Amino acid sequence: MAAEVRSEDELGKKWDRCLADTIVKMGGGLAVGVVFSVFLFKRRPWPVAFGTGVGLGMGYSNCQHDFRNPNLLHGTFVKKIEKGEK
Amino acid sequence: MWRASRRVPSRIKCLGQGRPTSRAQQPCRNYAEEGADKSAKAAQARLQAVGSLPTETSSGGVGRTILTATLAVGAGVGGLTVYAKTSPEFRKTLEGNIPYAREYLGAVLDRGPKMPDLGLGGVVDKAKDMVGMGKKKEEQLGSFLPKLSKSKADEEEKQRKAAADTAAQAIAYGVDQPYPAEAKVSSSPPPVKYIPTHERGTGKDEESPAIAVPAAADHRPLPVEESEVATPTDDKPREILAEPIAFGVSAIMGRPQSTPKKPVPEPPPAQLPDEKPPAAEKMEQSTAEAVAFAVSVGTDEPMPVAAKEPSAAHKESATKRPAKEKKPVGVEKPEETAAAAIAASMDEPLPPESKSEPKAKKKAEDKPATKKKALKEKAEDTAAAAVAAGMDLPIPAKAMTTSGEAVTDKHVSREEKLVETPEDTAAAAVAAALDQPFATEARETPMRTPEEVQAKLLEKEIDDLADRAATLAIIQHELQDLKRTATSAIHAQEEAAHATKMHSEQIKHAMDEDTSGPLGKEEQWQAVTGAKEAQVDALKQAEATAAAARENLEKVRAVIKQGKSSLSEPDQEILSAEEELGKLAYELETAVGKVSKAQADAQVMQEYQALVEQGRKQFKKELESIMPDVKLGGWRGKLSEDELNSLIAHAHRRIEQLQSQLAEQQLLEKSRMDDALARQRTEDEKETLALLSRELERQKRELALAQDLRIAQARDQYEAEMRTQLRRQAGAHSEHLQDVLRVQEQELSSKHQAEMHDALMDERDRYQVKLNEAMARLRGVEAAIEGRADIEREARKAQELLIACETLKRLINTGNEEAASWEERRIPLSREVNTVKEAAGDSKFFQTLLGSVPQQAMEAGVFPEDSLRQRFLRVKRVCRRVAMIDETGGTLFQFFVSYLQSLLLVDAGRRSLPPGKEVDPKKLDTFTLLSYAEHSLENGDLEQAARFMNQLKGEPRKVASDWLEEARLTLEARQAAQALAAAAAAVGLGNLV
Repeated sequence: MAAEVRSEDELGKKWDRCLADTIVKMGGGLAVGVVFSVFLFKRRPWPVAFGTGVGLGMGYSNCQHDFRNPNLLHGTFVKKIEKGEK
Repeated sequence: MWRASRRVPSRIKCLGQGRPTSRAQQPCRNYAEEGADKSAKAAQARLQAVGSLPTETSSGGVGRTILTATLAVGAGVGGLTVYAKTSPEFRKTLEGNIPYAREYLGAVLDRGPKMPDLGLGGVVDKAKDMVGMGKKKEEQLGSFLPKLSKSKADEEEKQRKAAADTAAQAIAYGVDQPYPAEAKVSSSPPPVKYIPTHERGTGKDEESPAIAVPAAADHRPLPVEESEVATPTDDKPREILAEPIAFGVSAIMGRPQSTPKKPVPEPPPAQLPDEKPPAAEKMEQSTAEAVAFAVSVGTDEPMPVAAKEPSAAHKESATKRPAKEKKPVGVEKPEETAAAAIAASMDEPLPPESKSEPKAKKKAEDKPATKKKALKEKAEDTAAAAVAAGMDLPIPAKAMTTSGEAVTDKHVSREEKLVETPEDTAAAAVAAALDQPFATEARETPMRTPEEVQAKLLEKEIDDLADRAATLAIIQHELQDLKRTATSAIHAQEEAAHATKMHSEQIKHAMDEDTSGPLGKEEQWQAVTGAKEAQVDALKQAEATAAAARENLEKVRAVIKQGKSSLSEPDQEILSAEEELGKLAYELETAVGKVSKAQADAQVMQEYQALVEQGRKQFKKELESIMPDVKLGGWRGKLSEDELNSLIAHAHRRIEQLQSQLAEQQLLEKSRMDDALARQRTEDEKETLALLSRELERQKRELALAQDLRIAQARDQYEAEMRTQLRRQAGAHSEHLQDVLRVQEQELSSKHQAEMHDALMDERDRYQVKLNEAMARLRGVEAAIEGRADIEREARKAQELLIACETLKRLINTGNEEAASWEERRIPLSREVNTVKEAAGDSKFFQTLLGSVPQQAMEAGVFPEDSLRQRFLRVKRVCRRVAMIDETGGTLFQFFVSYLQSLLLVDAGRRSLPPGKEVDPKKLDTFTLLSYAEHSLENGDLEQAARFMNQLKGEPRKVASDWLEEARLTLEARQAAQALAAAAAAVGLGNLV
C-alpha cells in the first residue's frame, strides 16, 4: 500500500502533477498541430503553435482546478479515506 | 541279527571284486558326497585309500546314509570314550561340555570300582550294563589286539589265561546256581559280537587302535589264517573271548586280503555257523573244566558243603537283595563270608583224628595267616575267600590274576557275582590298594568325594569286620588247638585210668590164691609189674598232656578275654567259643578226676595187698617158730607122723587161735568197718569235694556265661528300651515344654497386649495434644505465610506493573532507536500495553488508564519527540510558502505570490521567537505562530508547540494537520504512560509500606 502522502508534501505533489500534465498536453497539442500543419495546412506553422497553446491552456486550467479543489482524487486507484478532515 | 549277518557275504563279495562295477560305484560316490560327518568322510577316505569301498546290492541310499551316520556317530562316541578313559583331563572337558557325558562316561568307564555309587534298585540294569561292559572290553581288546607286539600278545594271553582261570573258579563256586543260564549269557556274545564288528567295519577303522591295520595290511595278508589258526589251538575258555577278537581282527584285516588277485575266500560267513558250535562246545568244555577244578578244590578237603553253603546263602541274599537296603546287606555279607571262612576252617580241623596228625597241624598253622590275609583282602568275594580259606595256596597270587585288567571274561561271567556282593565294590576299593589297574582307575577320578567318602566308610566298616573276623579266627584256631590237646589229654587220662585199673586188677588177680589161671604166679606178677610200668607211663603222659591242656586252656581264656575286651560288644561267636572252652575244661577236669579216682582205688588195692602179705609172713613165722625144722614148702617127701601131728596140733591151735581171732575179728569187725567206712567216707568226701568244686566251677562258668549273655541281651534290650523311653520322654518333655511355652506365650502376650494398649492409649492422648498444638501452630504459620505471600504477590505484581509502565514510557519517548530515519522510529505500543494490562490485572483504574491510550498509537505507534522536531522543520517551510492562501484556496497566481513572499521575508530576528507572557491570539500570523512553535520545540515543550500550531489557519493549517495529529497522539500516549507509571509507583509504594 502506498504510503499516505503527508499534508506538508501534498502541495509539492500537486506541482509535480501539474507540470507533467501540462507537458503532456502541450506535447499532444504540438503533435496534433504538426499533423494538421503537414497534412491539411501544407506545412503552415500556425497549426503547430495553436496546438501547443491549446495544450498549455489545458494544463494550466487543470492545475488551477487541482489547487482549488484540494480534495480531488487523482490516479487510477480508489483511495480509501479513513480519517475525516477537520 | 541273522539277516544282518547274511548280508555280510554280499558285501564281502562286493569287496572281493575289488574293482567295483559302475552301478555299485555310483552309490558309493554318492555316499561319500553325502557323508556330512567328518569322521565318516575320513573313514571313507581311508577306505578309498585301501582300495575298496563298501557297496550294497540293495538300492537303499538313504538307509545306507543313516547306517553310515549311525556308525560314524558310534565310532566317534567310542573313540571319545576310549580317549576319555586314557586322559582324565579330556574326560573332564567332555563332562563339562557335553550334556549327559558324565552319566555316560560314569556308566561306561567307572563300572568296576564305582559300584557303591549305584543304588541297588538298578541291580538288574547293572547286570545288563555289566554284560555290555564286558562286551565293550572285549571290543577294546579286540581293537587293541592287532597293535600288540608278539611279546605283548603273549603277556596278554597270559593275563587272559589267568582271567579265564579265575572265571572258571568263579563259575565253579556258582555251580549250584543255575549255571546253564550263565553259560548262555557268556556264550551268546560271540555271534552278537561277530556282527557288529563286521558291520562296523567302516566305523571300526577310524577307532584309533585299528588305524595302523589297513596300512599294514597291504604288506602282510595274514590275519584270517592267523586267527583261524589261533582259534583252534587255544584250548582255554578264553577262546570265548579270543573268537570275537579274532573276528574283529579278521573283519578289519580281511578286507585288504580279499583283493582281486585271489578268489573270494568268503571265510567269515562260512565260518560263522561252523564256528559257533565249537565255541559253545568249548565253553561247555571250559565250564566242565571249571567244575572239575572246583570239585578238585573241594575234594582237597572235606569242604564242598561248606563252600556251597555260603554261595547258597549268597543266592538267597541276592534274591532278597532288591527288597533290602544296601548297607545291611553289605554288613551282612562279610559276616557271611567270615562265617563261610570259619565254617571252612571248622570243617577242616574236625577230621584230624581220622587224618594224619602232622598234616592237620600244618594246615592249622597255615590257617591263621592265610585266613587273615584272605579276610583282609576283603573276604572280597565269598568264593575267593572260601577258596582262600579252603586251600593252602596263598591268595595274593590268585587275587592278582583275578584283578588284572584283561579279565573281561571274568567280568562277563562274574557279573552276577559282582552284583550279588555289593560289598565287592568296596572290595574293589580295597583291591585298588592291592593291584595296579584298579588303583589307576580309582586315581583317575579323584574329584568324586562323596563316593570316595562312602567307599572309605565302607572300607572302614569292612576293616572292622575283618578285624573281628581275624580275632574270631584266632580264637577259633586256639580253640581248635585246645580241643585237640584237651582231647588228647582226656584220652591220655582215660588211658592212665585204664592202666591204673588194669594194674589193680592184675594185682588182684595175682594175689588170688587160685593158681589155676592160665599163667603161673610168676607170670602173673610179671604182668603186674608190666601193668605197673604201663600205668606209670600212662600217668606220666596223662600228667604231661593235662598240663599242656591246662596251659592251652589258660591261653584260650586269655585270648577270649582279649577278644572280648577288644570288641566293643560281646559277640555270639566269642560267647559260644567261651562255652566250648568251659565244656572242654570240664571234660578235662572230669578225666583228671577219673584218673585220681582210679588211683585211689589202686591205693586201696595196694593196702589190701600189703595186709595180705603181712598175714602171710606172720603165718610163716609162726610156722617156723612151731616147727623150726619144717620148712614150709621146703620139703619134698612125705611128712612124718610127728611132723604131721605137730602140724595138726599146730593147725588145731591155729584154728583155735584163728577162731578166737575170728571171734575177736568179728567183734572188731564193726569197729574196723567203721574205720574203713570212715576212711572211705573221707576219700569220698575228698572226691566229692573235688567234684563239687569242678561242678561249681563249671556252673560258675556257665552262670557267668549265661550272665554275660543275659547281660548283653539285657543291655541291648534295656538300651533299646531306654532309647524308646528317652525318646518318649523327650517327646513328652518337648510336648510339655510346648504346652508350657504356649500358655506362657498366651499369658505374656495378653499381658503385653494390655500394657501395650495402655501405653498406646497414653501415647495416643499425648500425641493428640501435641498434634493439636502443632496443627494450631501450623495453621498460624500457614496464615502468616499466606499473608506474606499475598503481600509478596502484590509487591511482585506492583513491580511487574511498574516495570511494564516504565518500559511503555521509555518506548514512547525513544521509539525505535535503531531506525535509519525518523520516519521509521514508530513502534506499535500494543505489546507493552498488553503487558501492562496483564500486570495490572483487573484493576479498574488501570483499565481506564489503558483505555485512554489511542487506538492508532496501539497499532502504529507514536513518533518520539525527536522525530516530530525533525518533521517540524519541513512543515514549517511549506507553511511559510503557503502563508497567503486562506481556507478557500487560491489560484495559481496566488500560490506563486505566496511563494515569492516567503522568499522575500527574512525572519532573521523572529526565528524561534520565545512567546511572551501573554499572547494575543488575534495578532498572531502564520509566521509568528511558526516561530513560537519552533521555540517551544527547541525547549522540549511539545505540548506548547502543538498548541501554537493548532492556531494556524487556512492553507498552512492544512499543511500542518498531519504533524499536529502525530504530535497529539504522542502527547496522549505519553500522558497515559506517565499516569500509569505514577499509579504503578504508587501501588508499589503502597505495598512497601
